Order: sequence, then structure tokens, then C-alpha cells
Amino acid sequence: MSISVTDFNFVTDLVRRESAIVLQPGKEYLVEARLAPLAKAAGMAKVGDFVRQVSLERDRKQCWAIVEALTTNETSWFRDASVYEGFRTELLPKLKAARRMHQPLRIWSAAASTGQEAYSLAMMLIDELEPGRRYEIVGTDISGDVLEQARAGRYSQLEMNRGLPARHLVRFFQRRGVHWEVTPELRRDVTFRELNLAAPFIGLPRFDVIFMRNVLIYFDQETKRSILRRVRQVMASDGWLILGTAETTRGIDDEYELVRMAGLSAYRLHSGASLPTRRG
Amino acid sequence: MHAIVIDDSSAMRMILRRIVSQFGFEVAEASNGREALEVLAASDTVPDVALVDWNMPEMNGLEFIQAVRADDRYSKLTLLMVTTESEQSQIVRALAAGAHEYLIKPFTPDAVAEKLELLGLTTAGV
Amino acid sequence: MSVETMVSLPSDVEMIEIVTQVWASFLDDELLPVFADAAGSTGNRLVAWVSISGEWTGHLQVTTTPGGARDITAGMFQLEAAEVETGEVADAIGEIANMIGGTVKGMVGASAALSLPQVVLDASALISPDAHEVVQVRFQWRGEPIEVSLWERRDSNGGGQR
Repeated sequence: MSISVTDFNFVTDLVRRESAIVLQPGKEYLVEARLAPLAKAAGMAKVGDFVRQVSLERDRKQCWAIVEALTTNETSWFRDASVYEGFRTELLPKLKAARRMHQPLRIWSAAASTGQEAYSLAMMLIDELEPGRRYEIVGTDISGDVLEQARAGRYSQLEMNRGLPARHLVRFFQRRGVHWEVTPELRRDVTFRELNLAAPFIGLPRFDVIFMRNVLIYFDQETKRSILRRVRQVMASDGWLILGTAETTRGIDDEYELVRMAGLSAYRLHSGASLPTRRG
Repeated sequence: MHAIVIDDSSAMRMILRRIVSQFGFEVAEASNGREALEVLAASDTVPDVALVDWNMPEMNGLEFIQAVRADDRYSKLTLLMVTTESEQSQIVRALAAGAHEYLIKPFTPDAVAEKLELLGLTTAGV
Repeated sequence: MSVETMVSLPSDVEMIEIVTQVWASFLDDELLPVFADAAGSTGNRLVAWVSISGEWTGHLQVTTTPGGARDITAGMFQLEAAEVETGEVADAIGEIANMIGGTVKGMVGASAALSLPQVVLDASALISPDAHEVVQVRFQWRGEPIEVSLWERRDSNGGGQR
């Protein structure tokens, strides 16, 4: 391992400042592994040398690349367990109470990538919803390529090892050669579409819960504002928006209010905001 | 926190020891299920987690798990199976025998970290 | 018993995927599949294999140069190449063969058993007169050749199909 205590501290401070995520001691291996490609791209064999250089030069792009490398974990199932737990224990009961049985719960996974978030939500809903209550999950992403994999629901052994409880693996997946595929039961009410968040949301229904985690960071202030404004238009009046743990609508859009629940922070429309209620 | 790594491959024991000790665990080792039971019986503290291979001589991982789950002394021991066995039916067998979680070889350190978090043995820092 | 059981052997693509995942987990992502015919192996090779026996019988073999084996061992155990000892090389390459073989075993039959790895540290060629090669894939890694092959016993009960 090439990173020193000083290097690790620089990285943890940087990550905490930029993303509010705390790297515990013991995660040195993670820093080493995740930053190795960045070091290599910078022409350095040792991660420690790379970190030292960044700490001296404080290049914005390199700093951000470090933060990204350590905080994005898109390919995990049930990423940020506390968010799923909060969704299960706090949001779902509210939604079940507020929706009649024949109204499917509509959920948007707005940075769906290869589909782990959408399918994780489906697994949770299959476990938690009463028989007779349906759901619809829409996963969108700007990239058609990643959506191909999401639609196929096909994952490598390494991808399957990432945060997926074994009981879900055996229930919701089938072996296909060296890969695993989602079962028809899991696939059934999950669809994927290409969508550029910066462009108009065409043909989206009104959603009860919108997961838009760690994707707004890629847009400038004006575009963030535009996205959040248009999100309000596809959100049920009593619906919820869930952002990444370090993200906020504050300073961008005042029509949302933050509600802190056990393990989960989510946004709903201000009670004063006038929007038509969801019809069926 | 204490862990025990049970695998007949010294290479695998070394790799798992390195990964798990980075999370702050003290790591004991055994090369098969019978030896592991001896290590457990001889120790004052019950480990928090056992990382258990399946195919081992003398007593394999499945038999070890069955033995541990039948013994009240080890009711708090979390059992993470780490093996090349990837058939669905095998995973079901392991869970039915009492394994709490299952990791298929090969695995990255991240994957081990996430399984330990899933099991509530470490807190998520990232 | 005259019923022929057809088992499903990994394709070349699947074998490449299996080996790539082992490398990605414990080493790095610099493993490159190569498709040109070998110019004929020269010099010493290190060979590790595991036997698979059950509905299908054969063995999975990993071959590389002493230099390649030393680098693999250093990477897996996070040592400097100069510190690597012979015993550790045998352990490391044996484990690589074990993991690849274990994954292949999962594909060829639920009731198959995997032997402990065997390693020959110094061979110019390994010939199995009672087996024939059914899958072979080659790689370059850090300038060293790595070859992974699957051999089927000639009298294997299950005829393998690809």
C-alpha cells in the first residue's frame, strides 16, 4: 500500500468537504483500489505519489475526480442501505395509506444506469406490498448502452457480489452460463427508457417517488433549476423526491421542503404549492 | 471485533485475512471445519463472523455451519459462506443450513465490505 | 448406464470472462486476450491444474512462465516480486486454477467434485495422453503469456457440448 496517513487524511477531508461522505479508517484499501486508475492515467505508479501531487497542486478537476472515484458506487445493489430502509419503514407506509389498492405505486429511477437501483426497488416492493397492490417502476438514463444491460437484466458474477442479499439472489435471479439474469417476476413491472434530464420529460406519468441520486451534480446551476422545476410537474402532490445524501434543493428550487425521517431525507412539495392531485 | 477465516487454501486465507483485518477485525484461521470447531472451543471469545469455504477436507463448510447452528454457544456467530460454488441449488442449501450470507469467488475487497455492511458488522463509511 | 448426459462446456468467450473476473478481483484489469497462434512455447513453464469429476470428467489447467507466476503471486499477496518464495507461487497459482476450475465446475455439472490444485513448477510441456483439449484461451499480462485450457477425459461419461 502506497498511501500514507497524511495522504489518507487529505483524501478523507476532501471527500467529506465535497460530498459529506465520511471515509472511516480501515478504508485505505478502498482509496488505494479506487484511485489506482487515476494515478495510472496521471502517469504515476503509486497512488501515494498521485495523492501527494494533487494535495500540492489542488487541481479542481483532479480533486473532483478523486471524490467521484470514492463516492460513486453505481453498480451496487441496494446502494446506501439506510435509504432503502427509510423508504421501507417511512415512505412506503405513507404511500400505502394514501393510495387505494387499484392505484399502482409509480416510481422513477432517474439515473438508472445498468438497472441495479430499479431492480432493487422492485425486490423491496415485491417483499413489502400486499397481494393485489401493484407497482410500476420506470428507469431512465441518457445512455442507451447501459440501458441495454438494464433491460436485459443480465449481470456478471462480480456485479452480483455487490451488496445483493443472498436470499434475493436465489429468489430473483437465474444462472445463465457465467452470468445471472433477473427472473420474469422481477422484470415484470420495470421498464427502461432513454431520457436526457436536461431535455423535456416527454410521456412520463406522475410519480409517487422519484429517485434522482447523485446525478444533479453533473449539471450546472441553471440546468439543475430547470430539472427540479420539471420534476415537480411529474410528481404527485403528495409524492417524494430522493436525492443523493450530500445533495440539496436549497438555493435551487424553493418549492420543495426537506423532511428528515429515520435514516432517510426526502423532499416533498410545500403544502402551499398548488398542483393538481393525482387522478387514479 | 473478531473474525475467523476457514479455508483449505492458504492463499485464500491470506487474502481474506488481509481484507478483513483492514476493517479492524482480529483474524483467526483454520484450514477445515473440524479445526475451526477446535479453534472456537479453545477460545474465550466467540468471533463476530466466520468466513467459511465450502469444499474442505475432514469437515466441509456446510457441515461446519450445521454444527455451529446446532450449538447454543455460537448463536451470535454470523456465518458468511465464501466459495466457488455458484449453483442456485447450492446457495439455497447453504442458506437453509444456516449461513447468513453468501459470497461467490472470485470477489473484490469492495464486495466483502458490502457483505459485512449488509450483515451489520461494519458501518457504511462510503 | 447408457444414457448420454450432455453437459454445457464454457465457450471461449465465457472462459475469457471467467479468467478476466479472477484477474479483476485479485490483480488488475490489464489482462489481454490474444488470439494469434502461439509460436511454440519455449523455455520453462509453470502449470497448475485442478481435476473435475462427476457427470463430466476432465481438468482445468493454467500455464504461465516463471516470471508471470512470480508477478501473479506478488500481486495476489501484495509483496514485492523479489520477496516471493516458491511455496507462495505454488499457493497462488494453485488458487487461480482452483477459482477458475470452481467456476467451470459450476457450469458443467452440479454433482461434480473439484480436486485440490496440483502445481508443476518447472515443465516445458504438460501432456495428458488420456485427455483432449476442449477449450483454450490465451492472454498477455504484463508482457507474460497466460494460457488457460480445459481438458476432457477421453472416456468421460458425459460428452461435452459447446
